[in-house]
Amino acid sequence: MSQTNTHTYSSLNRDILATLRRPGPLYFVALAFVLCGVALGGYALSEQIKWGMGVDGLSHPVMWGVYIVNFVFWVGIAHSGTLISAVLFVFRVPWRNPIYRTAEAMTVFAVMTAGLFPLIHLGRIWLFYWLMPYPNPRQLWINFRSPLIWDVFAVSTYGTVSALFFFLGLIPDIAVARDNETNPIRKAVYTVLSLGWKNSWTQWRPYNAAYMFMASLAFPLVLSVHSVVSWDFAMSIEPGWHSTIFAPYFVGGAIFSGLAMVITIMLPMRKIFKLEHVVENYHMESAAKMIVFTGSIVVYSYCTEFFIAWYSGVRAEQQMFLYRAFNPEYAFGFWIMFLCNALSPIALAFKKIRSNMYTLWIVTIFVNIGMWFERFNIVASTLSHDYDPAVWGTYSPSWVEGAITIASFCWFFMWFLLFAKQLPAVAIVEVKEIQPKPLAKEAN
Amino acid sequence: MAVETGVLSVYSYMDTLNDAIREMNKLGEDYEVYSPVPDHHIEHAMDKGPSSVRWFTLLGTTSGISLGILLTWWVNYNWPIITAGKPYMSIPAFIVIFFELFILLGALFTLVGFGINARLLSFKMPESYDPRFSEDKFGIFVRCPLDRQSSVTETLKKLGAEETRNVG
Repeated sequence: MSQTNTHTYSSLNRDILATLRRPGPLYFVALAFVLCGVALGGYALSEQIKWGMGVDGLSHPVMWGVYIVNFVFWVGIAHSGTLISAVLFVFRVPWRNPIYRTAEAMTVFAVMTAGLFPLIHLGRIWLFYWLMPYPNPRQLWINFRSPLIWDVFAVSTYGTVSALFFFLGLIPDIAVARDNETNPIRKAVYTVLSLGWKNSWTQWRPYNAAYMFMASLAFPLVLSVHSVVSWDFAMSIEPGWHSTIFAPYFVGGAIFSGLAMVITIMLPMRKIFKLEHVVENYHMESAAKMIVFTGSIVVYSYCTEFFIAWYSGVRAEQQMFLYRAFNPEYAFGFWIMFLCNALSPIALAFKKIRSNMYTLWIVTIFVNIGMWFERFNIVASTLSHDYDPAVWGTYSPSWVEGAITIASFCWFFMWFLLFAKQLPAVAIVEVKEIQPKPLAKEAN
Repeated sequence: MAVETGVLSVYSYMDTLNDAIREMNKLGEDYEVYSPVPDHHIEHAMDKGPSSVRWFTLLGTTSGISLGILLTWWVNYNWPIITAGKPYMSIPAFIVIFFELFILLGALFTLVGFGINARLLSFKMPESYDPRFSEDKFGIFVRCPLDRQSSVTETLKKLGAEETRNVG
């Protein structure tokens, strides 16, 4: 199976730049909808700031709730973007080119969303700068042994490097938009954003080198970030968290959920922009195969967790995994996770289901739901059911946490909607690179 | 800045372009190539060797890891306090900091190196630039004095240039 359509360089310019035309009313309706969601989240956050963390469902013993779930979920969503843009680039995988821009944009916006949650979770959000490495009034510095400080370094590095890598790839495409733009204001903006790009080899040579180095640096970075996030849990000695499998388990899960989100976004987007001849079913199916592969890593991790809990002979570990699966409070989350993450991707192993874009889209939504519940299952169950039965308790999120969670999705899609109409959402230059080269010997 | 003078030639085919570039190398001409894609065949034809961006990356990554070591070391001895019963310089725990700064500064220096080498932020487009170079055409601009323009034009036409234009 391979790409079926070939394009000329000119037709690609025309087709992809057509996505930047003035949007229709549906776009503005969607934008208004997500802005309302963001406003709802803003109101909920203002209530939390006004009244304090008491408006949340967080209470002893569960002091980490859906804010931390959302943080892990969104960092996970970010991962497949870097996988597609950097890791598959290093391995020269051709199916990455038409979907990489959307995936990388998704990474940047998902990190922007994820980064909000540790701050919201702080309660006193205005003191976020206490996390930065500088001495406090007592001349005491931050504790570099804390996994939470590792997180600050890892996520901020990831956000910065992803944004720079995203922008690096955009520069030649913005120059294409600049050269084809007729509106003087937009042309001026594209001229500034293209940083004086001239398509000359004085520029392409360092560009090629910089792109390869950025991809090579992002490759280990993407593996490190979710490992560090997993160590927020694994470095503690809580039952169900203190496990060496957490880093690969989280990285596998992150790529699994991120790929699902790429397909969830790309399928409607290519239809709206009429780009099905550029972003073909083949590209979607290739990503679906990766979902089957990473899904199998996730299922293997689930099985290993249960096996090790039983094999270790540690009672607290054993009861934790039984609690997750059968307790009356959170077992629904466990079974949603299991059905969505372990069973639904099996469907994608069948070509008939994988090549039908409707069934593929539905499975990816199941995976997204399943991965959110996986994080909920990890966070809430362990804190509810610690070593000491005297301090067991349950957690149910309040409307404030629900509203902020909904707002995080709206915030993510708001950036996506704004991006898709202002900058090329499909990489023009990189799609040109996978077309047959214009050769005189073939033309003649 | 003095206006560059020379001859611009335009091509539709990459193999014709690459042949012309090799010929320019043989003739020892000073030239610039324009193309809509960064195809590695063009880079090979130009035979200019690797870009110096790699030295910026090396400098960035080594600075990053050094900064990580110095920061954690200085912070822990500046206000020494035992946490978690660990030594002041807990290298295994600090590897994450070393690694993240290694990547962060490596990436930042790479981009600075790219910007310097690619001469970004010069917004004035050269006279030899044609907007078709961001679409589907390739170009070679040979820098030469006005009195050589006709002979260079002739050479470029022989090498398959579809259009030529005097610049300057």
